[in-house]
Amino acid sequence: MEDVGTAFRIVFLTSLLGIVNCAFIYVVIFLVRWFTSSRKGGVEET
Amino acid sequence: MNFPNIWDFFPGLHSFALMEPSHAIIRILLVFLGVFLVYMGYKEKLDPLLMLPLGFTMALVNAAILIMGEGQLGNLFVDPMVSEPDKLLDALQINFLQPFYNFTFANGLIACLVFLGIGAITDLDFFIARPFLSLFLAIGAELGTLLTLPLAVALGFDFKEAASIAIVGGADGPMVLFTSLILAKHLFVPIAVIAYVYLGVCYAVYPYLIKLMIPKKLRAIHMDPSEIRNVPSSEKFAFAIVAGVILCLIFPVAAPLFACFFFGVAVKESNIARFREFLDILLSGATLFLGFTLGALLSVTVVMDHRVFLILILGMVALLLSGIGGIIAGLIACKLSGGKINPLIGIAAVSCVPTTAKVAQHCAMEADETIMILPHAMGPCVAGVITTAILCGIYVTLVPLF
Repeated sequence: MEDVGTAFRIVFLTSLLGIVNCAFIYVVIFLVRWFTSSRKGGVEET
Repeated sequence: MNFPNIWDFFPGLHSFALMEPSHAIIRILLVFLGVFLVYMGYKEKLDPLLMLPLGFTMALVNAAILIMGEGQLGNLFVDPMVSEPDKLLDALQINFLQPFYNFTFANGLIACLVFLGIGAITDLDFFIARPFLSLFLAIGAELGTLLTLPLAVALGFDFKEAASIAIVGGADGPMVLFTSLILAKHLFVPIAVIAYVYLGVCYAVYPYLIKLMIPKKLRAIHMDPSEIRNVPSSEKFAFAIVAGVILCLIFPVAAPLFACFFFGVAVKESNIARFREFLDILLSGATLFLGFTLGALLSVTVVMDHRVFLILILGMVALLLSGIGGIIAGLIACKLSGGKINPLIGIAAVSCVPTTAKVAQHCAMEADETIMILPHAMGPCVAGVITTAILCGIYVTLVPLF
């Protein structure tokens, strides 16, 4: 039978990695917003 | 001249006599349950897109059990347990859903196709306009996905099995299929079937949880849809490509799901009408055959697996905890915003797109008929899909290391 303590360790690592990846997504959204708004007015949007 | 046995004319009925009494009773109950699910889908009390095909085949597959070769009981729909190449070839030629099961279901293709269609109908506006709020609510709604893993381990499942069951808390069918195929193929059938039945049921159950946890005064908070920043298609399109590449880079094991979802989003935002029409039909077809196959898998032999009962309980706990987590995150957001955010959008973060967003809107309208929170609810709903995909990627990468 597997160890419940190790299971909680997996959950802790998963939570940490999950929050880090969500932060990545958050940064991507802002970078994309900055990049697309800086190109506005220069290139016609189709 | 030997006259044939009268029962040879009624093989379906004869199979009852050859079964253990407990199996025969369960089989009859499954037939009635299938009919009940069809009725609930027809009346739209449960999601009809899933319940109609699922309930239909569930009732029919349990009625249509007969004596196969070598005296074994089986059906002519699908045999999910067959694996030896020569027996598989026979099954592919005889069982009418076997090719569909082996070539689209058992390899995760159907999960990816459904995800492709979901990406094509997903509206990213609120998610990109309010990313922090959406992701915060989505992380709260993953409570079930996280806490169910140690609970499953405590009940005797190994880490891979526990992770496959815990993903049910992410409330995303394709993710559940994908994770259980990679981590616990031997439990794939019961986990997938239970997950989809529960996802169909959560539409009916979550409103009770909401009424228990959120006071009517808070459910009646108005959120103005015109406050949402107008996000141009170019921004959403660029996000789809960049986020897809980055997530595939970080979690290559879950790349098929990310690729399908973000490609669906890219097709929607690129406005190529022919692709959009095709993906719309693809989603409908994939959902229909998914429900059909799941129902065919719900035969008495699968249900009588002794671990199905534990998976039933754990799946329920996972979805309940995720609902509770989403609502708590919604209540925190409401408090921190000084009462401007309706906490109902927290339940939408349980990523059953767009079911939970519709649940949030429905419960808001019960408190005040003039409320429109659906556009706001779609943000955490979409964020929930992304966070569940991230957790799926983490589980399939991290869990095998332990």
